[in-house]
Amino acid sequence: MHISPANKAELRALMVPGAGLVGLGVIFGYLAPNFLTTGNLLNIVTQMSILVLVAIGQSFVLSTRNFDLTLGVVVALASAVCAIAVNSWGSTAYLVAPFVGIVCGMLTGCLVGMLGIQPVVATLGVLIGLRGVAFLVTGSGQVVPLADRGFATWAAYSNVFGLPPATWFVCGLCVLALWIAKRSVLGKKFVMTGERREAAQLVGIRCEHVVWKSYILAGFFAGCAGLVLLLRAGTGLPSEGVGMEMQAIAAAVIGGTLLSGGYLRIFGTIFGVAFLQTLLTGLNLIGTSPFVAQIATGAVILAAGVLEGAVKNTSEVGA
Amino acid sequence: MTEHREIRRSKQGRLRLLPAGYVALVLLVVFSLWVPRFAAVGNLENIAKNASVLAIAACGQLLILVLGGLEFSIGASAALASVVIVLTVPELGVPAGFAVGALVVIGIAFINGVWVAYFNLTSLIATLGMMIFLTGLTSAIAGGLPMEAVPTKEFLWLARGEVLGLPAPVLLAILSLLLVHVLLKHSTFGRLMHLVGSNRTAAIAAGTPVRRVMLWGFTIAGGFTALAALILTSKVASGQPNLVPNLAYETIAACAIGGMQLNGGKGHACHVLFGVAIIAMINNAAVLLNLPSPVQQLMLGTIIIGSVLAQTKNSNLWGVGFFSTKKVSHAHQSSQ
Amino acid sequence: MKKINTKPLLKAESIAKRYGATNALIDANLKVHPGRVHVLLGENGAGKSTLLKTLVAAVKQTSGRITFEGEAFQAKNVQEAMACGVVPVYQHLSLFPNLSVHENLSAFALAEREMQNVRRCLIEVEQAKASLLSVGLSVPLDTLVGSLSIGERQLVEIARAVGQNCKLLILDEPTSALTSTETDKLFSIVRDLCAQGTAVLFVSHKMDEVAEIADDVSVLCDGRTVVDCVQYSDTNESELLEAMLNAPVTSFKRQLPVHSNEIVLRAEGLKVSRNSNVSTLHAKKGEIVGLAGLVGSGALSIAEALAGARQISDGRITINDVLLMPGDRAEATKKGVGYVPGDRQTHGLFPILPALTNASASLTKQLDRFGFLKKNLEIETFEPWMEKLKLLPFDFELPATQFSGGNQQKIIVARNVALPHLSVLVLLEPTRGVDVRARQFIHDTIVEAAQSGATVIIASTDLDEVLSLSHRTYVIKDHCVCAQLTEGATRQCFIDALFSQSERAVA
Repeated sequence: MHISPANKAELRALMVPGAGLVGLGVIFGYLAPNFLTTGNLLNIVTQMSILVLVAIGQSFVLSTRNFDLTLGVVVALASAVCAIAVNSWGSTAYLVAPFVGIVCGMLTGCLVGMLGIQPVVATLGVLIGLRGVAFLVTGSGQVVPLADRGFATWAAYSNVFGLPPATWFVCGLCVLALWIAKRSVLGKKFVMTGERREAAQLVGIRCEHVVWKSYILAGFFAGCAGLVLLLRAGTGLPSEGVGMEMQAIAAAVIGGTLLSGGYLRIFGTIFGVAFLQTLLTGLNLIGTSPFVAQIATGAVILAAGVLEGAVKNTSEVGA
Repeated sequence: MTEHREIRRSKQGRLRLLPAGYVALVLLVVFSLWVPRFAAVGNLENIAKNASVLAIAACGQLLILVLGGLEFSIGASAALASVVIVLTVPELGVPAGFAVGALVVIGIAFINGVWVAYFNLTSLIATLGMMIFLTGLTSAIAGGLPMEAVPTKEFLWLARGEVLGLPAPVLLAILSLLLVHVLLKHSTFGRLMHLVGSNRTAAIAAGTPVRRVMLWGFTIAGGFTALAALILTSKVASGQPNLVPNLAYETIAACAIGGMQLNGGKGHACHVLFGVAIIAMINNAAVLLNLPSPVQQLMLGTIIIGSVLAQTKNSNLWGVGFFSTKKVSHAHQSSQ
Repeated sequence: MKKINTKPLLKAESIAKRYGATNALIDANLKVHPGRVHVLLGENGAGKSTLLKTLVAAVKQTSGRITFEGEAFQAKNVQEAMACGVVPVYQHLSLFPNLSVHENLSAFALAEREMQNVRRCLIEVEQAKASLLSVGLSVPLDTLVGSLSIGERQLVEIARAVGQNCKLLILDEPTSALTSTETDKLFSIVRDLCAQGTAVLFVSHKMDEVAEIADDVSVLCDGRTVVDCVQYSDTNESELLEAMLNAPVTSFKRQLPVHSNEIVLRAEGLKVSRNSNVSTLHAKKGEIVGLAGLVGSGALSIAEALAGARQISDGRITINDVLLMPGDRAEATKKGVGYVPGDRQTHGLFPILPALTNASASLTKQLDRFGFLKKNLEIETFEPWMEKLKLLPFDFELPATQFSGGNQQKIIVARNVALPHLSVLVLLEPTRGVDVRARQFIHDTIVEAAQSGATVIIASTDLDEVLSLSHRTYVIKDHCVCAQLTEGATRQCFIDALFSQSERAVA
């Protein structure tokens, strides 16, 4: 079978997180007998579903050589607003969550893309503002319990073909993200803009719009993550998601995305999240405190960073 | 010749700072006129006291930003310092305990510097990894809960003491700002930091010891973080794994509000001064006006973006480089 | 020689363009005929790139009119210009290394779509193959552009232009990054395209290329067209040069100072890349030594190695019998080795910092007193140099980006000649992209540095510069020294030396 050079490059980038994942599986499988059970593995898949959506969103933004610090707060805001909407309008209002994400993404994207503000500052400003909004709509940050948990419980905890419907929903979104990244013109435009902005402008790509769209897409995925959070918790949680944007960046980096733009590796990002979640679950199973998992996560991010630095070095020498 | 001398002293670099200064002044006047009790001496002192920790920490962040980096781990390392201090003070006494805490923070900054300078890590990744690592470590040490310290007078002095009628934190903040100013504008090391932050490859070609500058730049910045961490610990009199989770964000925001371009290679103590002053005045006015904290956050977010927008307007948002071309040609004409 | 017998495809008449208070173009004219190669000559800063931008509608001219195929040219942006058939290929390659050749060839088509399947938006495989074939490139369509050589990438770019139904191909200094074989290939492709009726506008400032490719020539100088579409056969090199420089070309010869016999710099068994031959070279006190070679010959790499700016595979470099650590610029600077890098923007300048800070970047040690900067000393050190180099505008606080290329280079030269105990000064392409007047001042400064006892190494692909300025010239080929020329050598000597492998001195 002929593998195109582009896919080869991506496969090569997947080797490291892939090998890490297998390594973790072997270690924890040996240390904790109930680790390599179907139930536990499916549990890991379900557990990682929120972060995976945020990380995918972050990947789109990273590919255009920007980053988005608002995503964590967007997850929380979406879950809270959605819970309020569902309580007053009924189940169809679950669609509000992605919508909230899109609106937030439009705002941030407008600041970074159209007005050309540096992503750190723009997303930081929006982050602080949105935190205010999240507290405002819920009245000083109270959780918003769903009045009718029937749908939420079914979606998050029932078993349809082996996984809860919410997890299937996340899988569907992953496929959508993969399609956008690999097959859609938009995905190519992200890469073009992130890699060589002047060149992209020259062939007629309106880079401001492309950056804007990457933020909207990120907002959409974060909004969906908020929906999944709401379904799983049964309550809107306006103060959740702190630091999730950072974990998302970490997952993307572990998955082989370079922060210098021009790389859109959704598979890598999914692997990165899977790696982090496996580490967390595995350490939990062998009975260490969750803080140790955090320490390990930090160490892994640093290791991925060192690897990235090394990759950059060799490519420079090669050029 | 005389003409040349005049032109050479054109104060382009300094003019840039003014917008944020004006904003701060306008806010001061507006709040003094309309917010009851704002202009009282006690309240102003209160503002200064509350702002001082942020100002000191932002001085550290400023140095990193000048180097062209970002530092996200300062909140986590301050939290670790508070836990370490609370643990060591009963054994070693207050001065030694605080010294150990400071050393921990500086050590962490040094390690960050090593990652960035010698392992070619992006500062974002290095400090992000460090942040998560430290959060875990601190929680593991403290068991996830705040640890109360014995609030002796000595322990509380750093936050509540007074020197020559000035609260100690305010004095330390002023000293930090002065130190940063001298460091950036008058010291050789500050010059090297500017060079490295402006263009790393060019700095290498010009014979600058780039790695050493990065390493020590991070470490010096760590010194400011350490000072902020000590004051914070003294203020809360406890070791908290969740002491200031947003310190990194707030310091970056302060520099941005103060009018700093975050591209590296350029920075001034006034960015910190004005940025922190704006944030502190808004927070204080919001409290006095009984605005709920969400509204306060909304305002803060708007101010960040608004001030940055206002400054982009001056450089290149409206018509690419229009203002800058004008400046060149102006200087050009006057030199002939 | 072919006669101009057709109506011009594109005609630009009295184009003027003002940016703020500066006049980039004052009165520019251009006529390009189908099926002919039109070379646009001009020094840097003459307004070539501004004229090109107006032709592709990237900027709107302040006054003047452009007609294309007999009608007023109405394109409002680059895309519309390209739809009309005016396709630019830029100096700075505008391809995407992370995408495949096929995707790059389809970039224009992709720009118009959004949420569609890429495969349906890519241009037909047959069409893509045909346009690759037309530039003589045979690589699989799914090859990543990042894995191609610079020359191949340029061909892909031309293929993309050809596939755009191109009537007027604009090549902006296309040979600046190519090796000589790649250049030859490019020229033959350009000729093929012309034979098919495409007009080519070729922008350059290299005279030897003009002779090889030009049918017609125009020359731009200080925003005005001084030679308007003359057949190349009706003119000659010195006439064009004169027009370009707006001054009669005086002899390039310059009186070089006498140098001593004491050897300062020695390189033994030097290998800059793993599979090159070893070279041995030396330079004496006060001597100006040239490293001449074609683009890609490795002359620049060897010079970088001598300045300590590059790791070497093998060999040792000594300065006054002290070993130089390869790849350690900080150490080299301490030993008094100045270095003017070849790529000014990425390796030389600190864009947002003031001119004075840029100039004193290598001098921080000397300006230091107990950790503080001696700012007065800084000004006193650089004021005379800047006066001598005629920095314009004479404003030390102005950020470096706001100076023209020539003045930026002056700042970097000043940074190095002001080094205390300057023992070796290495300059790479000291006057690339620099206007004639600045070039003069920089050359004067180089000679003066040699006079005051520094050993100067000049590596340049500008042959006239090296030959006229050096006491002695090493000819570099395949990353090693292949011959040595003495003072007064001519172009012909260089070419002879290049093609006879044995090492010999040419008087």
